[in-house]
Amino acid sequence: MPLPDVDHAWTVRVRWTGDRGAQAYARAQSFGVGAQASLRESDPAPSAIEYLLGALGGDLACGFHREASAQSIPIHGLEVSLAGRLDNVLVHLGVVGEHGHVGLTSITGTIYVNSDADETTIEALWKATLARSPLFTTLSRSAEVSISLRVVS
Amino acid sequence: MPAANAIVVGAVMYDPKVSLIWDIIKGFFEQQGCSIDCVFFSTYELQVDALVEGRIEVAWNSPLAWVDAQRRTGGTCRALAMRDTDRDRVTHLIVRRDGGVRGIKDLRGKTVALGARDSPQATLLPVHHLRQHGLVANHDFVPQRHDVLVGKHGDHIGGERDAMASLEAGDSEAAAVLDLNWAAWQADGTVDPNRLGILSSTAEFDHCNFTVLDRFPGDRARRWTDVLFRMRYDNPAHREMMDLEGLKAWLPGRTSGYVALAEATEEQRFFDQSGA
Repeated sequence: MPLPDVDHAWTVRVRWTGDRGAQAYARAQSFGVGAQASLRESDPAPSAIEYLLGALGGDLACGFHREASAQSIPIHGLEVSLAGRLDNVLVHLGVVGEHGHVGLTSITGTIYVNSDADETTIEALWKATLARSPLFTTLSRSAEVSISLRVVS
Repeated sequence: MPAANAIVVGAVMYDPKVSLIWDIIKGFFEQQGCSIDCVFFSTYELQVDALVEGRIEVAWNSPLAWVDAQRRTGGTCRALAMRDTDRDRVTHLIVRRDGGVRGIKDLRGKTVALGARDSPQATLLPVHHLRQHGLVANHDFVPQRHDVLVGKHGDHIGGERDAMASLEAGDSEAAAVLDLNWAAWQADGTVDPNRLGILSSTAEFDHCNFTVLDRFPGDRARRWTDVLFRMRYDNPAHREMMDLEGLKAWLPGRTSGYVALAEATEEQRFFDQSGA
């Protein structure tokens, strides 16, 4: 019996729009990307690194909800808070004489879950979420990713 | 892409936020028709290398970097501009009011907390000041250095903050602190002026300046200063940068305020010993 074709590539197209920005197109959606890693208080669009963190948080939030739904466990609320740190942001800024690299070395954060289920059940859902998360699995191979679970009522 | 004929400016980045300051400056200069390119360095030594070798044209130099550049160019550099707050600074020697130190002579045999070894305000100048009052480091008093981010010439206040913490903890009998930091720390409650007070202050000295080599063309220097001096604190777009950089106005550069520091570097053989 032939193996099913499970190879699938997700595609985006990104177009530079000038003035330090780009527009990404994915299927029927598009979104603006600002700087690579902005230090400003505000920008017209999130930076690339914020999209990456947002993507991880979205992956985990959606993944957790999917795991809960599969077991008919109601989730009243769910929020993920994340912070990412580069090895040396000064290297990214092009500072002559700085050492290190520009990659993320750590991502820390918390997932807050509001549910009537007991903590053991919630923890099991969280474990399954992490195991099935493409972005957590990818990023945790290159950075220290530490996200704690907090059950809130 | 670098603009043709852009003036190349160097600055030392002690904090990522420094890039925001230079984003604003660069944007303003471009609006005014004077393109600049910014090169950031991790240390002043690298920046002075780049200036002397002609890889940058204008260097935003610390006072020690100015002295170094003068030393390496036979005293031919020029200071184009500086902040209003760069002029007439002093360093205070702070003591505990209940510490029993009433005059400089009382520091004989005591420990004096200093900043980073290459900090003009928190090490070189206060050590010079004490020597002028008859106290020689490692002979008449024990210098306790706080080497935070060496190479950045004390731009990062961590060394001074650690020196102050040492004084407050009783690990030293005096601490050297720039007047601006002393004022700011009193205002924000970091220090308690009822417990700590000024024992003595150095003579006035000047801080940073925009340094160029003597061969920097006069027309480019005029373009630079003409635009720089157009920055106004009452313009909200400029104020953000000026607050970050700690100034109300840009002033012409002057070089009379570096004499004591030049003396200090010779007396302490700073450059001979690579700052050791």
